[in-house]
Amino acid sequence: MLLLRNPREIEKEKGISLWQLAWRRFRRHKVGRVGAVIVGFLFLVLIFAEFISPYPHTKQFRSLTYAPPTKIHFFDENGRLTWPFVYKTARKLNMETFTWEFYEDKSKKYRIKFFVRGHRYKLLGLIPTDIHLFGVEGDATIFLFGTDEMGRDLFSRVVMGTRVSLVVGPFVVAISFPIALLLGGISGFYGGAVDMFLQRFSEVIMSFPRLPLWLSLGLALPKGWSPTMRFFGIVLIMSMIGWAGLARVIRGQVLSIRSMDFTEAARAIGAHDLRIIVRHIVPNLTSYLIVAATLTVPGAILGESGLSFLGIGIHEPMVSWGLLLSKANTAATIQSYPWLLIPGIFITVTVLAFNFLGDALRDAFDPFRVV
Amino acid sequence: MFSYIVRRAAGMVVSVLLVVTITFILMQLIPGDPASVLLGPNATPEQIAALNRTWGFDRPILVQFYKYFVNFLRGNLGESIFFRQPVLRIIGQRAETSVFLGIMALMVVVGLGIPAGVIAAVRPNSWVDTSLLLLALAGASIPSFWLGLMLMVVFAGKLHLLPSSGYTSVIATGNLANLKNLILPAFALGFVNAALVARTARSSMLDVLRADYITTAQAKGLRDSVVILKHALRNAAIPITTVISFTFASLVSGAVVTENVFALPGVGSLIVQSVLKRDYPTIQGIMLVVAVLYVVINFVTDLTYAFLDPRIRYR
Repeated sequence: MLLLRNPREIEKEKGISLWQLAWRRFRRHKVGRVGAVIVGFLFLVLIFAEFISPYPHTKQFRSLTYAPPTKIHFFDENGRLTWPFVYKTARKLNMETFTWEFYEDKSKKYRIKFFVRGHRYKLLGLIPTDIHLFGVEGDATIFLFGTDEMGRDLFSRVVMGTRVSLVVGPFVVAISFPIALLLGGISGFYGGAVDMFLQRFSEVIMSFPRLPLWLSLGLALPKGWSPTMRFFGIVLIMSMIGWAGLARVIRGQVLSIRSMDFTEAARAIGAHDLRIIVRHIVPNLTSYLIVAATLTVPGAILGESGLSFLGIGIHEPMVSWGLLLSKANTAATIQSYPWLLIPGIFITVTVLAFNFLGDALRDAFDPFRVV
Repeated sequence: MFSYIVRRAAGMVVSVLLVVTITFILMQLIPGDPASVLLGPNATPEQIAALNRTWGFDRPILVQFYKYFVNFLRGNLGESIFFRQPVLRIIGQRAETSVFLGIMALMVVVGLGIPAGVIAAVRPNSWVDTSLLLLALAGASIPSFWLGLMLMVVFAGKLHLLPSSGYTSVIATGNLANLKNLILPAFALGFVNAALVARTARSSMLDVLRADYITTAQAKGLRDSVVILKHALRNAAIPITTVISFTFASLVSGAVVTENVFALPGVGSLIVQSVLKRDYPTIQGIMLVVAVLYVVINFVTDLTYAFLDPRIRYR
C-alpha cells in the first residue's frame, strides 16, 4: 500500500506523529467538520439547557394543551420589517366541531426579548440565576415547538432531553468498552481455551436480536427505582450486550498486533507481558477505540429512543427525545398535532452528526489511506 | 460439499444448545415469578407458593432446566400467563404478519440497497455517488419508528394513498390486497437497512472493479452492463450476502418498534405486550424462537457462501 503513495506526500508527513497526522487529515474532512460542529453545539445546549429553555420542562400551561408552535412575526401589520414579536396565544371552543381552537390575540404585540428573567435555576449547577436566553414578558407565551398534552413547552422539553439522549452514548461507551477491552484483550493475547470460550459466548450474545433482549432485561429493573436509577439501569443493560461485538474486533486487532515484528522484538529482548500490552498493544488500539466509541454513540442514542418510545425506557419527569416521541404514537395524534414529531429531527441530526464524525475519524486515523 | 454441510450443521446444533441455555439463565436472572404475576398483588404467599409447586418452580434449578430442555425438544415452550394458551401457538398466530413484513422489508433492502451501491461504485466520487452516500448515511441515522410516523403522515394522512395501520390476515381471508397495509411499515423498516447494504455493495464493488479480469472483460469488448452485472456483481456478492444476513437481526429489532407504530398484530408487538404485562413464558418463548431462527439463518448464509464461492467448501 505504502508504495502506491506519492513520495512527496510521504516526505511531507515525515516527523509527524500519528495524532498530528490524524488531526491534519481530520481538518480536511468537510463532512467530519460539519459533524464536529453539530456535536459541539449540542453539548453546549446540554450544558446551558436551563438557560436556553424559556420554561421549566415540567411546567404545565393547563389552558394551552396541544397549542401549536407560536408564530413569530418579523413584519408588522403594514408589512414593515420590525423587531420579532409574538401575539398572545388564546383558545376558544368551536361550538360546531366541539373542539378547542387556538388563535392569536392581536390586541397587543409582545416583543421577543433576549436575556429575560424567568424561572429560577442554577447555571452549570452552581450559580443561582433567573436569566434566560429568550422569552416574552407579560401574560403572553412563546412555544417554539408548541405544547404537549399537558400544556408543557415542547422546546424546553427537547432542550432538557439532551441531558438524557446525548449522555446515554458516552455512558454506554464508558461501561462497555472496559469490558470489551479486557475480555477481547485476554482472548486475543492469550488465546487457547479462554479464547474459544469467550468467542462462543459473545457469538451467542450477539445471536439474540438486541431490542427484544433489552426489553426483557428491562424487566429486571425494580419498579420502585427513581427515574435516575432507571436511566443508569438502562445504560447498564445496553452495555451488557454492547460489549460483545466490540470484544470480537479488539480480539482480532490484538491478535494481529501480537504477531507483528515490533511485538516479537520486544518479547525477544525479554519484555514481560504487561510491558508488551501497555507499551506496544494498547497504543496501537487507541485510534481504533476512538473511532469505535464515536460509532457506538449513535447506536446507543437510537436504542434509548426506541426503548423510551415503547414506554420501557426512562420514565417521567426525566425526558429524552424518544420519550417525547412516544406521545406521537398514533396516526390520529400526529394528524392533529404534527409538531409532536419535532424531537425526531433532533435524534436524526444527532445520530447523523456522530456518524459523520466517526467516519471522518476513521479516515483520519487510517495509516494506510492513500491521500 | 457434503462434509462441509455436516460440519456446519454440527456447529449449528451447538449454538442452538447454547441459546437454549442462555435463554433459561436469562429468565432466572429476572426478578419476579410468573405465579405472582398471574395471581396478582392480592394473592397470599401461600397461594403463590402453591402455584409455584404445581408448575415445578420450587424444584432445584438443574431439574427445572432439564424439564425445560426436554420440553423444548418436544416443541413445548410453556403456556402464556396472559393468553392462557401454549406460547408456540400464540407465536404461530402472530407469525404471519411478521414474516410477510420481514419479506417485504427485505425486498426493500435488496431492491434499494444493491442498485444504489452498484450505481455509486460504477461512478465513484461523482455527484451521484456522493448524494447516494449521504442518503445512505441519513438513512442509517433515522430512527425507524420516526420514519414510520412521517410516512404515515404523508402517505396515509395527506395523500390517502395507503392505509396507516392495522393488518388482516391474507392467509385467512385470501385477500392479497391486505398486503397494502404492510407497504409503509416495510419501507420504514427496510430503508434503514438498505443504507447499510448500499454502503457494503459500493465498497465491495469498488474492490472488484479494480481487478484484472474486469479490465480483460472490458478489453474483450463486452458491454458495460454485462461486465458490471455478470463479472463484477457476482464476485462482489459475498460481502453483500453477509450484510444481508446481518440485517435479519436488525430487522427483528426494527420490527418490534415498527409493528407498534403501525399497530400490526405481529411477534414484535407481542413481545412489547408481554414485557409490559410481565408474561415471562411468552417472552422466553419469543426470545428462543427468534434466536434459534437467527442461528438457522446463519447456517443458511454459510451454505450460500459455499454455493457462491467454491473455495470455501474446501477450507
